[in-house]
Amino acid sequence: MERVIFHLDLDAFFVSVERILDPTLEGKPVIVGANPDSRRGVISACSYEARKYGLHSAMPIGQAYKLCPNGIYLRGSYGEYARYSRLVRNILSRYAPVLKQASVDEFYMDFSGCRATYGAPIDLATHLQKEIWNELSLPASIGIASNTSVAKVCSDFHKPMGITYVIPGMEREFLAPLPIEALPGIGKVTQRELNAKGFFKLGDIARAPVEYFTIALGKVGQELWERANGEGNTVISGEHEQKSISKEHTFGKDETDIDKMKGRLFSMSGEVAQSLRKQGVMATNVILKLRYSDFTTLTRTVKISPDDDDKIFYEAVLRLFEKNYTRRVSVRLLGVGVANLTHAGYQEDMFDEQAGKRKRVLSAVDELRDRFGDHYIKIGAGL
Amino acid sequence: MKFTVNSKVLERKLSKVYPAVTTKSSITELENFLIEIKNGVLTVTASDMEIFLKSSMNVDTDGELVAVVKAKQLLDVVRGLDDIQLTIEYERDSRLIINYEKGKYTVPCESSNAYPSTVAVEEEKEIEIEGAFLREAFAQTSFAISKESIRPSMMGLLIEFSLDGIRFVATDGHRMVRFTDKSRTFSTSEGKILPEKAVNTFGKLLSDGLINISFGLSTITFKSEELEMRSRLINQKFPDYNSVIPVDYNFSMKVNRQEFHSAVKRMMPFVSNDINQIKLDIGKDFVVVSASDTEKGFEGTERVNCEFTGDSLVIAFKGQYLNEVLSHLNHDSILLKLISPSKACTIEPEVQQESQDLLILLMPIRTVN
Repeated sequence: MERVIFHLDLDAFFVSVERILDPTLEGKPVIVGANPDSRRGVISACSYEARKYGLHSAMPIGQAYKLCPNGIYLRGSYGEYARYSRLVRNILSRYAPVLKQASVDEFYMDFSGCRATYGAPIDLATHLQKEIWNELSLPASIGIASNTSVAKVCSDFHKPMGITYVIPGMEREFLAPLPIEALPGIGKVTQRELNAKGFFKLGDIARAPVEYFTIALGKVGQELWERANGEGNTVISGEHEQKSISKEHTFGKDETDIDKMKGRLFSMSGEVAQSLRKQGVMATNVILKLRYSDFTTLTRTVKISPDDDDKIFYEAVLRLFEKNYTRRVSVRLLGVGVANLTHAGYQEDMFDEQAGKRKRVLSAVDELRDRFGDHYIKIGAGL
Repeated sequence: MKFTVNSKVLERKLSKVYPAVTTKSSITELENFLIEIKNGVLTVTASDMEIFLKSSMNVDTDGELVAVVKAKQLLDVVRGLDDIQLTIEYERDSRLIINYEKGKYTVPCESSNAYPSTVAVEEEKEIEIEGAFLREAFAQTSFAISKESIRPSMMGLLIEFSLDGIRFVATDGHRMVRFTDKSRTFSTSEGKILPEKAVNTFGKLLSDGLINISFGLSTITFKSEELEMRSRLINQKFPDYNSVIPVDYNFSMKVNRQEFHSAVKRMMPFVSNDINQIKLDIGKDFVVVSASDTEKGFEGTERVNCEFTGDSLVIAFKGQYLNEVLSHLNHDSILLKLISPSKACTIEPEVQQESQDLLILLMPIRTVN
């Protein structure tokens, strides 16, 4: 059966949402991702008008400011981005039998065997694009190909509001004239290295013998060569609901210092809670894993009300730890996990006045980590 | 030694103390009854080390005995017998032989030394209260007791005796019941936390008549003529429940409890297991109760007449909590006092029973969207 994979990419997504929120931004160079006061950090997204000044995402704001001093620099309304992303997803899920969200503004869909229902892929893509535009005023570009890798390159081929369809069998020819960095996964470093070896176009890679890459880069090299040749995944692994989230840490040297162990439990509780919040779910089971230096391992679970709060998880796991760390033997590994994930709303608690305040702090922390990385800000044990 | 006893009388005594027998403990002796006879009084004891039940009866005998027998087997045998006179023979540390006209049953005994000795009891304070009232108070409040071991102080029912009356408070942080009776006053001023298991077990066993309650620092005993029930107390500080009860509110909604509860009950199958929430869309004259399970496509909406003092308010509660609260009220008309969609809601009967005060606090769910 002919494989029909769509890759939909929302054009300058953050900027588009900002323009919905404030229509006066239309036609102006808009830059999202900067702290307007400190001018620190990098660009998360910028409008096509800003790109004309040479700005691009991941560019340091200081540099961008020099190139485009009249630009409108926004901190970013991340909650709104997530909301619009969900709305787009809702539209797509009306059509796509298999849908996978790759990021906040990227979706893969498998429309193989849907021609009888939806007609030609191009028509379907036009329809989806229009529907998203009409309902949400968001521009989107769509790439259609026989596999995910080429579809992704396609969606980037014509932007904004483009549709690119690669006829099955023409993948290699389509990719050949494109610069190597058009292939997802080829970053700045790889690009420099390959350029130095004389590879500038994807066709250069495709024409070279596969061994050249396997010897130099192993499995990654083989995959790179295959993808330059227009091969890739022809099926989308549908999203499966995650059942649990956990973090583990093996100590470099078997640990006996209880404070250090508690510190580790604290940071892992935070990591687990953060990934829950990212997914917008809560958990009702908290799990401690404890492995002694003699490899005796125990796993203990405690039930809590649905929550996604660092503090609640830490308190629960600490209680388990204090109850179960009974042997005078050093510890090799500690793990914190949560399970029984639910989409329930947060059940307010009458005795935890601090909870509401903490929830706001946590969402601010998450926002900072999203923008500047997980190590940008740490939560103190006192919070 | 030998003694005679009526089978139905013995069955009743054994059944009364059986709830304390546990098969879950690592101490296997707790699967047993401790049976003692002294001065013509037979006493059956069972305990899971947390609660302790003891029942006594007069028997016809000349001897004394201390025997430890498997509780389930003994109760099963006695339960299966008709209303007849039994002659029970005891062979020291070996077995009980139950004889009756048609046959006999032999139940092995374990060494009486193996039965865990109960803790020394130091209960200096004593009060008296009717069993029927206590039973009612337990039934009305126990549902809100916390099941989460993370907050041990809330895993029981707070009972406060004072000059002003007796008060029962249970909470799990999400809902709270406070039931006060001002007609029963006490010269002592004490607050004790009775563990959930004791509340549920004793609640079923309490007889109507006067119950003698004695308590100390770590135990409490409820004594009636035929049964002695003891429990360890939760030695923790109960949260300051008064501080979370709002003194002021912005709106109130008066609604017929039965109509409202019926709507909520009908909504329950439509409450998604995952989200588990019932939404109340309150308008001036009616409240729209709704629930949905969007993933499975179930949806329910119903209108119930009410009198609301505000213009409109939307608030969501955990379906199970709202349903439980409404089923534990037996008043015709109730008042929901509200502040905002994220603040505690108090639920009270419009007319309190004489000298009583019942207040339920329910925390809402903050919805994601």
